[in-house]
Amino acid sequence: MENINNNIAIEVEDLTVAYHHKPVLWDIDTQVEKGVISAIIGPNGAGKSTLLKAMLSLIPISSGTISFFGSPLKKMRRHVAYVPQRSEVDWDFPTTVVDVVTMGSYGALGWITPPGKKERKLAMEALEKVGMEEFANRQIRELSGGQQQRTFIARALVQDASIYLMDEPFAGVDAATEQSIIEVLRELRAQGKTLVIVHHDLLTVREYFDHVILLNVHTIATGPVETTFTTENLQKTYKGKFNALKGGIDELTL
Amino acid sequence: MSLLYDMIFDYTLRNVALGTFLLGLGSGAVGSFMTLRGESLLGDAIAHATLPGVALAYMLTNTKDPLVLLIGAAIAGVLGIGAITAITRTTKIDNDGANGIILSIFFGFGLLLLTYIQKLPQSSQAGLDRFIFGQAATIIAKDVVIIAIVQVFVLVVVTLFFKEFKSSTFDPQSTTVMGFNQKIIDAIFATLLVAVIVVGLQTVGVILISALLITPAAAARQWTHSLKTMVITSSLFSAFSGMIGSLLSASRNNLPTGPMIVLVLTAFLIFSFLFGAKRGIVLRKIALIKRERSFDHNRIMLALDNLAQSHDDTSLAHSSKTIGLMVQQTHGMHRMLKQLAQKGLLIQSEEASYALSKQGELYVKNLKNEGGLYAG
Repeated sequence: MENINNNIAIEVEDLTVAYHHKPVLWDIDTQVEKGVISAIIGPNGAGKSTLLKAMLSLIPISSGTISFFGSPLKKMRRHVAYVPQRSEVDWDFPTTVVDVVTMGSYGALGWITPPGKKERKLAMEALEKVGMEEFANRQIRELSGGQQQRTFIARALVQDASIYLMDEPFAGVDAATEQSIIEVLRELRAQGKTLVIVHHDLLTVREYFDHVILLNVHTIATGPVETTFTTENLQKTYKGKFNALKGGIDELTL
Repeated sequence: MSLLYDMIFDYTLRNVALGTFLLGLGSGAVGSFMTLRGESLLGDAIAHATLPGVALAYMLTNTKDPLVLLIGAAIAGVLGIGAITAITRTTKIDNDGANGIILSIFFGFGLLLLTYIQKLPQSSQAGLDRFIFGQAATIIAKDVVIIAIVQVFVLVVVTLFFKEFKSSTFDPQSTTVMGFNQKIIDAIFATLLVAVIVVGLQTVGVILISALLITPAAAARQWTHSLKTMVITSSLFSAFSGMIGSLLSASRNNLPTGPMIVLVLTAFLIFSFLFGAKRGIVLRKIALIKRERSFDHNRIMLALDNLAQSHDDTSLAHSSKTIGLMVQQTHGMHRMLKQLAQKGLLIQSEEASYALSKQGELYVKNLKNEGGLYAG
């Protein structure tokens, strides 16, 4: 019994979230196994970001339970890292790249203890992994979109979590940056980490992901990419809008 | 000179100078975080909300002991914050709206109470008036001690929780996920805000104290891109503005202190906007002119390279007119060509004719490698 539980990194049961009495997420059920990269996919307004935030207790939930390796988030904080959308912070904030990445160590440090040399070193290592070491002392306001994204990912790497929840890490980055990010994510998977990523580019789902959560207020389907990422399920998820791709799912693999 | 002399040897002025200097240290530091959190109005709302607290404290205790009045002010300030939070949480009114509502309600109520106190028989209300516009000259040694204790407390707490404040100001959500309870951080911050405001009321007054929080932070931001430097700079701006402003007010027929301090702060701010090392308008303009010039220079160099290649002869000189046609610019061509020749990038063969030098060829090669026009 224990073995089975340990293989499930994230379990969401009967999750409902409502804003002003209007449900944004309705009765969500899904499981993500350890060591996979999972995509949350759905049209605008489907509640993708909301699902991540609800899983992280950043917004109040109306009902349901969320567990990480069988425990609530409260007990698992040190093992869960979040990469928000780039647009959620003010990049004009007076600080440097290495400073932001060092913030990833704050959770382990706890209250009051300031970061020291060890934390700086961890930050520099993380920056190297995302190919940003030469930008360490740059002002964050000088970064391009792709560099901002890699800075955020480096900060999450410093957290050394087991589970990473990322909100659109590929949004607005160029092809080269996307490749370097996906390499970092694959390396994390190889280390047995679990990643859940809000994603909007259907063309890359088969290449990047092992598992999908198809979402449109409800969970339309959830499971391995091969069996779940089908034309039929996508049509259900995107409703009429998916007809644009007449060839259906096979056209996506082009 | 005599002002400096008085500052050191005159008892009143010494208290005033020291008190307002200390006052600025804490408020400048807390103000930095307040503006970066995008809550610039909060300080103003809390300050106005303290007024009924001062009046009620006087009515209930019938003393003008500053400590009693300040405790009253602090309680009213905390209630004000509570009310603002309650409004934003339970209604659709945003932060600005809630701040405005609480500011006016509490301040209006405070004015009403002050008017009532004034009409009481044996009451000399003169002492409470100063809380509106501030009067530094009334600072006595005991007040300086209170101010000093509070400012030391504020600076110690800011230092201890610097990491938490920094992270939660930049990215509150990720900070929460890492296990820092945002409500605790907010509560610590609110405590500091109320503390610096309350001890400054008597000196600077309810109406203008928020300037001591916002203005130095805005000025400091022009000089640095480092949060730590910004907080320290803001502290010092605020401290010196407070001291200079209050001394000026105390030395000239007791002009109201708050307005004097605001004038000094404004001078700091305007100077910073113009000359601030990181964002000042003047330095940015200079940088822009430099960039434009290097852009023009690069265009000329690339045009000459083009000409040289089409003639298969790099040493062939071209007139400034030809070069001007290539870059579609006539204005300032002579000047720019001379500048490039001075740098050794061009060789002037005869009057107004130029060719690339060896160094110039190298420059063009580098330029092309680095991505063309905008490099350099």
